Amino acid sequence: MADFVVRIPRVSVAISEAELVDLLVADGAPVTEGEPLFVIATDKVESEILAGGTGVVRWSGSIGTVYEIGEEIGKIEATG
Amino acid sequence: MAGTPNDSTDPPDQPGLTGLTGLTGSSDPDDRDDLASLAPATARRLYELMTLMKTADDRLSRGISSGELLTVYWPSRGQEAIAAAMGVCLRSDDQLVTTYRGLHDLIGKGVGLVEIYGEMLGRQVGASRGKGGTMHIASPGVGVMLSTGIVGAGPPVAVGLAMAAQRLGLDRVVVASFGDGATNTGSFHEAANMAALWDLPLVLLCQNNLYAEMTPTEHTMKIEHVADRAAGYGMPGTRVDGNDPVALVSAVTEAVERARAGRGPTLLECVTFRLRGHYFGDPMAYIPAEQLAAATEADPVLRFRARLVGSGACTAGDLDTIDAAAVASVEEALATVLAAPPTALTEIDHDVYADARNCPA
Repeated sequence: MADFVVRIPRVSVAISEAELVDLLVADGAPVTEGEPLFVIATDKVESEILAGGTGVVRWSGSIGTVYEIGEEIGKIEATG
Repeated sequence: MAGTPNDSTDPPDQPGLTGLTGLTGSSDPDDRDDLASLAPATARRLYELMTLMKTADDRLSRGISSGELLTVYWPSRGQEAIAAAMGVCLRSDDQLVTTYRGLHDLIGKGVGLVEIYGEMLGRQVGASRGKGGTMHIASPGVGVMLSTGIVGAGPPVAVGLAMAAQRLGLDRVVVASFGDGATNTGSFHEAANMAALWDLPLVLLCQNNLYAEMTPTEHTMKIEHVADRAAGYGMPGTRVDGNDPVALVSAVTEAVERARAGRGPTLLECVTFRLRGHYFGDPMAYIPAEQLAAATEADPVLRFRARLVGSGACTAGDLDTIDAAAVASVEEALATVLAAPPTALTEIDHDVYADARNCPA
């Protein structure tokens, strides 16, 4: 199974960027698809984003940074 | 299933639309055509279509929310019964004009998942080779002539298509699918008037999901029932439980047969609910929690599944097999789309001008 690229999702129609406000799984920790993974803020609304894959999380994004929609902020490395 | 008395197939506590909406409705079980009125193959086909529509919506929602899929989407989750009934009642040469909230309608009319997802994700395999996007999916080969992004824009186009069928002497029927908000637009009223005047082979299929974008129907119209508007144009208006595929098949069949026989249009109001709001990501803060809970409880796909199993028409195992096939179809289509090339810039004027050489730059 391929790695899952973690990107800033388009959680709403009229947004072009979002702030990464929290990482809910530590770098190097395992995560299962469907578990809460990170939190973004758009238009003063915070959205909890669920993991789209299962594996070990590797973050490249950092809290407090504003990213374009679709920008890569990490990977979920497939294991096994 | 055939010939089996069906009085016991509707659970007595099945939520009706009265509880869901506060509107008086058509959901009296005594008035509803029962499951035994359908051929077993039709009941099964309805479930297959509804499940595919739900699965396709669920997968998009999951993919968008995790950042895997970058697109915009207006979910049809919760409105599957209407589109499935339309799908089993129409012939392949019948035509459809739908809206941006059209995933379910497109599947019902036979558009392939690769064409749909391809268009939403901007790939060359999309129905419009990826340059139309979610709001503008057409597939004339299966009769889907247009999806519109403007509320109320579809009915006049459908009138033109129905007029063409009439003038060409064809017995095909046109369905215009739209929401409750569209019936407040001038274009809807002009279309309804002309369709009735000319006895056009048209079904005006209103999917009344109780909200025009974020505004509830009672804030936008004085009347309680959209179907009552039909009287103003001299056409029949029928209100039906839009979460009951059996009642819908009966109502859509009647409207389609009337249109095909040259007796003119029908306004069919199908009362339903959008379970995911206006657009994907809609926080739905404007929807009362108890209304959303009742609507979730009245989920047409889960209700129909319970009804099929409860009546003995299908086993849970039969339906599990259908569910698994839907998941496999959706995953296969998505994999095909994600492996397909993005729409090329050279597509930009394709199908826009017959001859672009003399067009203004």
